[in-house]
Amino acid sequence: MANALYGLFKQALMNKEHDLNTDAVKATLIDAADYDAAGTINTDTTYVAGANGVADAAKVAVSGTLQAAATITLGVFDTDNFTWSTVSGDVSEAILLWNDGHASDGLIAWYDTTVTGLPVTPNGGNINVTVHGSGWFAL
Amino acid sequence: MDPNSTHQQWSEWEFTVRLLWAPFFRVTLQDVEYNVATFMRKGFGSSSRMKMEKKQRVISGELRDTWVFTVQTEAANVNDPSKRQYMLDSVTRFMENGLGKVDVGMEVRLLAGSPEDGKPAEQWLIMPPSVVTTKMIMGDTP
Repeated sequence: MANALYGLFKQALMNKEHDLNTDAVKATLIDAADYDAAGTINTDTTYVAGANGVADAAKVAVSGTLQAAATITLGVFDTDNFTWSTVSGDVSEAILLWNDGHASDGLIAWYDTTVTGLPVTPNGGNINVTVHGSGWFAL
Repeated sequence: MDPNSTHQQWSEWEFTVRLLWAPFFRVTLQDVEYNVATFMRKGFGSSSRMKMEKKQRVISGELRDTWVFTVQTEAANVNDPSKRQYMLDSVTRFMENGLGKVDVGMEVRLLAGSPEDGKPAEQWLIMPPSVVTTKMIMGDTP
């Protein structure tokens, strides 16, 4: 599937449940073989079961909070670049953005296309992520 | 492009150039962009991209410029200390020729490839651009 914002995120945003420049937004490297984003991204009306909404088997690496330099200027969510350190695990095909500060660990966005370098095979080393100059997403 | 293929090494070189004087002539963004891009292309090769940022700070009541040039490149061996020193010296000399007395700081970071110290290779992912358009307002068709 294509990169997308979760329907429930948009709903929660309209319900003032997210504060993206102060909440603990994180990025998780995902083994898409263990998580069906296509089945949940637009159709679910309840949060996906499980910690952070995703099966543990699918989570290859979780970042720290990206908020150090998060900005929301003019509806564009942007953060600094970040690194997943000493990553090992399955081949990973996607990146999931989610809000650890949300009551249901709300999923925000899914990226699996046009990310240069994906799929990536973890080798025990660091995986550096460069966020595009135009940010993660714009509303 | 797959930055994580076996024989590639990508690195990021950030040069922070602080003017040590208040300029009495106008240095345009376009002039700096053109000249620095040409210079960096010669120094790092064409498998590179550069981002430029201009900041200003007030020192003793004078407005002074700080330029930050960030180059991501496949060409330069980031693990080679002599290459690092060579680039720092070259950039400092180039900037002094164009801007006068400056202070140049350099930060270098391996993005993808072997650190050549026995540790696993670094890998690199580049996020796509977000869909940003200023034209799309309510009622418009994207």
